[in-house]
Amino acid sequence: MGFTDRDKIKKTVIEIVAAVLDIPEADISEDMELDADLRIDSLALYEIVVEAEDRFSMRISNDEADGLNTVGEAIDFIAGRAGRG
Amino acid sequence: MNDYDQRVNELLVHIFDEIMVTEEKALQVGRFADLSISEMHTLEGIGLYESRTMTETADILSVTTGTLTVAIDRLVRKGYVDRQRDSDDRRIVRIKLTKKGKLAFRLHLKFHTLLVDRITKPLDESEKNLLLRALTSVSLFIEEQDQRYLKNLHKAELKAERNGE
Repeated sequence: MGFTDRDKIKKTVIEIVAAVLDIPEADISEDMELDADLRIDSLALYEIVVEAEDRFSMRISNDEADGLNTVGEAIDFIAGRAGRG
Repeated sequence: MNDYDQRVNELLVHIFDEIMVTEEKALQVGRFADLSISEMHTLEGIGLYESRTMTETADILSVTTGTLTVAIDRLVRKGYVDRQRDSDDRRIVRIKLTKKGKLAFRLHLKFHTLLVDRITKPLDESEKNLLLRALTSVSLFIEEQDQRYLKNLHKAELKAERNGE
């Protein structure tokens, strides 16, 4: 998993989060907390997960998604899973 | 029944009555108001990632394929299920959840996770084992009663058949 791959993943994750929350992509940064900063509830979180599973062709359990705290953690999680193939 | 037994009975009846009602209410107030609890359980039977045949799903849900077809027709119309012919064998129909179906499934799963967490979080390992033993015993009892009534029903049907009813 090179730097460019993580960059691509970051771009897609931010795109998905922005679409689900209906906010501009520019308003989202890696250090933002899903709960406190972005006010992502269970419905929005799982909407993001379902979309991410489709875009990255991977499976993410509810428990795994519930354990993510920031946008950066979500990107790292997906990058790590994509890296394992 | 002594006071303790009475309380256990009251709680069991209350849980039995309320759990389905609460599940249904949880659906009704949210984005999935058009989904009944029995339809939600059909989504569970299909599974989050699987592409199942109608027969497989009917077996999992213990319903006939006819009953399942009616349910799936409705779920396809509402956008929760996708139905397609198998690419290798056109005679086989495969069903899977759409993104909307997956989302409903995940939220339903979350309800159950919260329920189980609420029960088990305050318990230590030995209490958890005790709870599991008690619940297993209740579940076995219900299953035994179900089988007993099924047998009686079957006997009554045979008797009616013999009597030419």
